[in-house]
Amino acid sequence: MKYYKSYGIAFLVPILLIVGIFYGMLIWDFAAAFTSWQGLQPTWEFVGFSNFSRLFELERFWINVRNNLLWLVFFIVPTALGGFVLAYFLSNLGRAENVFWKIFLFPMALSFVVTGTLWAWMYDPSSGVINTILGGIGINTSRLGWIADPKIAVYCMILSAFWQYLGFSLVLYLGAIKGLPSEMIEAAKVDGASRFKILFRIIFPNIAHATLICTTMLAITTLKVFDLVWIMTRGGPGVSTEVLPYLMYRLTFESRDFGMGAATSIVMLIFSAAIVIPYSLWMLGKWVRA
Amino acid sequence: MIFFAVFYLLPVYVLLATSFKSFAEVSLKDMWKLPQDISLDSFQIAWRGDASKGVTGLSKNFINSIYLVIPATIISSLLGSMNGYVFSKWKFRFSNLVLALIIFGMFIPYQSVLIPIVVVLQKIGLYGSIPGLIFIHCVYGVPITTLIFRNYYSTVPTELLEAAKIDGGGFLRIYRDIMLPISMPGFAVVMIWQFTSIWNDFLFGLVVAQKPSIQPITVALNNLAGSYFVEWNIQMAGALITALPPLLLYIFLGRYFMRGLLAGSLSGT
Repeated sequence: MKYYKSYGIAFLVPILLIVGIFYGMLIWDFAAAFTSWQGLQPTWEFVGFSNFSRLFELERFWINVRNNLLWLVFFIVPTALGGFVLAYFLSNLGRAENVFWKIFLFPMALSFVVTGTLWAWMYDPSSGVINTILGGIGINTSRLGWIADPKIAVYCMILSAFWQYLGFSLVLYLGAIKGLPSEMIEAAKVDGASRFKILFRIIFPNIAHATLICTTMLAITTLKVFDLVWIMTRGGPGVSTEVLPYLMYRLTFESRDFGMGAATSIVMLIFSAAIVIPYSLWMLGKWVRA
Repeated sequence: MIFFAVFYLLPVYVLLATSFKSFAEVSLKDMWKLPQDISLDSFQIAWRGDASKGVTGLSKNFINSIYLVIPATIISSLLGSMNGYVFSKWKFRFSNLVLALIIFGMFIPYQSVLIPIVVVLQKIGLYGSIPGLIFIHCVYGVPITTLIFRNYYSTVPTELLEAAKIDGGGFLRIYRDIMLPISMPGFAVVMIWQFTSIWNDFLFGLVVAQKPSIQPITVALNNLAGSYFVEWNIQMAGALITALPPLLLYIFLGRYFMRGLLAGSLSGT
């Protein structure tokens, strides 16, 4: 046994190193958030919570938080719900199902950079696809700025992320629905339950785990959304589409205010820990039992 | 359903139709028409660049991405397989704790380690180089490859290993002669997943590769699309070039792609 053990540890050296480096960096970042580090070299001069209080005084910071929350609500709910409804219809389609999931899932193979480039053009007020179609059917498009309009830019961006991620929630739900025992649904049919009732009273509650996984994964995605914002609007017009990851990048790598950047990333970390820790524990619990 | 699917594919149609047009043909009222005669001009400019228009081609960056993605994918998949083997078959005292740390680490936003990464890479002299990017993608990729392989190997019956042990098979021999030969489906899932996510990454490339000559293709596409004077047909051609490798993988190996995607989140079930 001892022989196997020492080999096992040897095999694990890389991952143990990686875990060590990773958590070491996390602690480092945490420490840096309390220093006055500006410029290229770290200066370990501790300044307490002043980075955080400077951050909280920024109006821009609160606009970012609000945008992150908008993403959380207007991205997760439609994507999860839309995926569920599509999956339900697809699960009744038989063989055609295979063609359809491939159509809906393909945007997941794209980079956010590609999605952003493509949609930025579609939304372009003067020569974009959307305004051209609308103009073609006689709608006055001069006031429809889409991502150039600070009032609706965030929602436009969320729509393109929805386009990319719908397939993800679709295949997740599709797998869950197909995993349900068919007797369950047959029995309900025999009892005279309507299709609607079967959908919401039987199928939906019995795939709660899929909902948990789906919403958690989407929530993590929204918390670190960066590429799309960068490509489509650079946070603009003004700071109307900025989100925390974007602010973190600008403070750190453009303003060279590493202390504040680190403080922003710690705020993000707290947000994501609130989502990830319960989920990770749930997953780990399942594994240990299995 | 079909209506919805058509709506879904619309952006793609636009992408294809535009990139195959010459600039003269890209006009508003003809947006819907297929290109009159298929023109590869846009692709040529997007690929090779055009000095007179100030467009830098993507070809160099395409190669950079290949140099980056292939080693990073292979290294992280192999390490994942080795770790998965230990975690599934040779549990040790703190294995669950380490596993919990890995799962948690997988979901941490990049931004929380971005600053230390830059400093660490500068210290070890890999900042601003492709090996530096390979290193980061391995650090970020190994947790997920480990988890996927751990679950994959869990389905291998333990009796098989016990029998091999009685026959005198050592730790390495069991891995080489029993586990590796049955790992191909696992490798397919993991490698497609890693290839796609590393190819599509933007943030690490942006932060680590400041020099244009080593930038991966996603960063270069952003530069191309970011300049206002680049025509849409060229941007779309660039977007298509960038999307091509993962899309090809998806078209031919879609089922594995889907499994990889789900494994990342569904590892528990």
